[in-house]
Amino acid sequence: MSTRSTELATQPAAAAPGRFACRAGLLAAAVALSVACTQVESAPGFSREDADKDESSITIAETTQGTYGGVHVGVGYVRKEEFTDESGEKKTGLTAGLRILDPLDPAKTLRIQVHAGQRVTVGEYAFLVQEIELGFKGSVRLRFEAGPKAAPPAQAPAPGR
Amino acid sequence: MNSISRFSRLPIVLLSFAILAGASAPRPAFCANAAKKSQPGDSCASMTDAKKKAECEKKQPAAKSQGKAKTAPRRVVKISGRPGAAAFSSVPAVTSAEQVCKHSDPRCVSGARVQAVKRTDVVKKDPSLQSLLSKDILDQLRSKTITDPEPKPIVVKAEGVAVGAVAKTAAKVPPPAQPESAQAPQKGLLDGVLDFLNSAVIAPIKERLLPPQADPNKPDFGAVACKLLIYGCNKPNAKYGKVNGELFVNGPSSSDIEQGRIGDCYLMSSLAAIAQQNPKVIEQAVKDNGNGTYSVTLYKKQWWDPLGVFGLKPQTVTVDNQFPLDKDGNPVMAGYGLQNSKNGQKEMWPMVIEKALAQSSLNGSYNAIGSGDLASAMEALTGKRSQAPPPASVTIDQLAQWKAKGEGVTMMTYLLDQPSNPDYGNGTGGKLEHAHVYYLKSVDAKNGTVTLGNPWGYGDATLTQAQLQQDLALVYVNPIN
Repeated sequence: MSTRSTELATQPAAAAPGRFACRAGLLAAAVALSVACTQVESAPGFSREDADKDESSITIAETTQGTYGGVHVGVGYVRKEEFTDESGEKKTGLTAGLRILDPLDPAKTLRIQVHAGQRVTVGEYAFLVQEIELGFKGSVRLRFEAGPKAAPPAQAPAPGR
Repeated sequence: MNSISRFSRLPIVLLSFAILAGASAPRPAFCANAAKKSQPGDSCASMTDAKKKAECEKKQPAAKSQGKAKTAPRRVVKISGRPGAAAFSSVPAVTSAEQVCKHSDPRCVSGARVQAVKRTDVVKKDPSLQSLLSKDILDQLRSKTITDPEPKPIVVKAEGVAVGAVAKTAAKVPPPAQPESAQAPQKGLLDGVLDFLNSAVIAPIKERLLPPQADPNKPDFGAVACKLLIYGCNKPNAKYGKVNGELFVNGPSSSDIEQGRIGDCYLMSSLAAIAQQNPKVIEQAVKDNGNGTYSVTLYKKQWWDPLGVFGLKPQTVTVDNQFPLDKDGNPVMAGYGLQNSKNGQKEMWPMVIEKALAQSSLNGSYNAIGSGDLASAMEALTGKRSQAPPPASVTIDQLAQWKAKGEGVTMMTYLLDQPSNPDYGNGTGGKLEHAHVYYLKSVDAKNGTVTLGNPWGYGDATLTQAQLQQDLALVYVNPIN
């Protein structure tokens, strides 16, 4: 009896830490869920800190489009699927479906699948796929390396630099 | 018997609410701060922050007591023109609200004036109230002109609800044309109670959960590309800058639409659909004030009516010409339109409406409009309710009919990615993007196809009826005309 009354007496005091633990647990679960749902693949040598300072590096979220120097790039999807890399090897990883429009030549509207580290050339424009992030709203980070007035893509600097 | 006695109690309950509402002297939100200037005591009472409230009350005890001594007691008076309705009159507060509203805030729309007219009219009708007012105020009321203590002449205009003597004035000043379904409801007992609840309960909660923007004219865009809101945000590398463009270049058209780096395809597609079907709606909704600002009229649901059962309320939002721009000075959000950009023209109406919607969103930021529903976007511009027919039953003929009738149609693809559906992107193929909103661009009844316009300005999709019924998750139809 005495044990039970002690338990009952301490119940209200224990409620506050319990509530806190519950909230903390929920928060942790939410963070874990979001981290679990988010996967990132980057180009070799990519640094997010460097890219944040680089004005030619832009992040475009799924179903939105970004513009750089006149070229329009829309991101249709980000998903995990099979792709063939530059060496011809088949791999499974994050890919993004881009729709690219060169406003100087609207006939050049391309639908392409890209993976992290891939270089894309459309007319006089060239860009590097620096990072692909899969999530509730996936995104692609591109670094524009060449445009109509810039150097040819072959002379582009190292990724993320 | 029980049910009858319950009903008989209803007026008493309503009256109690009304007294509460009257005592709190609810005013339109945008006028509240200004109106408080004339009543220092009231301003303390309406403060939500406990610290500020305490400081305020310390500073102004004298003002409060003086106010109590001089202010006329509040009275409950029935308005003759509206049986069953009651108004709460505190005349000095009303006149000051009207005055400050007229002078300082261009957003003080007709609703504020309507309320003031009702109250001044009540004073005219009730001789017992007249005895409580100074001769000065009575003279001004009789001549329908109130003199501001600052002083600036204010003409009390009667709009919509004029009764008796003021009705003559109302005939001279017709109310602005509004769509029928969007008529602002007349301020009455219920409005008073709801305003009270809004200011006493909802506003403090909202302020706590969603802190207002540091600069309302520069909505934040730091979280337009967030992952579940808590796993980092990719802030666009942009700064606010002035755009020297024209509101309209050859009138609004769907080709002016160019979605940017925010996920507001639902808004951009709605704008494209409206511009295509009835450009006048856009021209009427957005006005150039000639001083680098623009006024945008948006129709919104009221906070207590999230389904919009009681109609949509017009709201005027003033937007300046500062927009988020990248290092080259190009807009990061809605653009000028692909063709306009090619011609070196800067047509601004899409970005102005987008910014107005951001400013009027829950926390006044671009982040808040990064996703939204198709219906409310179209309704915000037209003031008319949308319909949502089931996509699986929509036919090409129906789409052709809606288009011919001048109705705007927007369509959304499935929220989740569909890798196994060839119509959704697959490698280098695919016509549609998932979780994206398109607008009905054209119908080819002869070949049995429809073209869905992409708000990016390119990447349109032409589908057959079978593809249409299989690939779409939502279809919304809005009677624009």
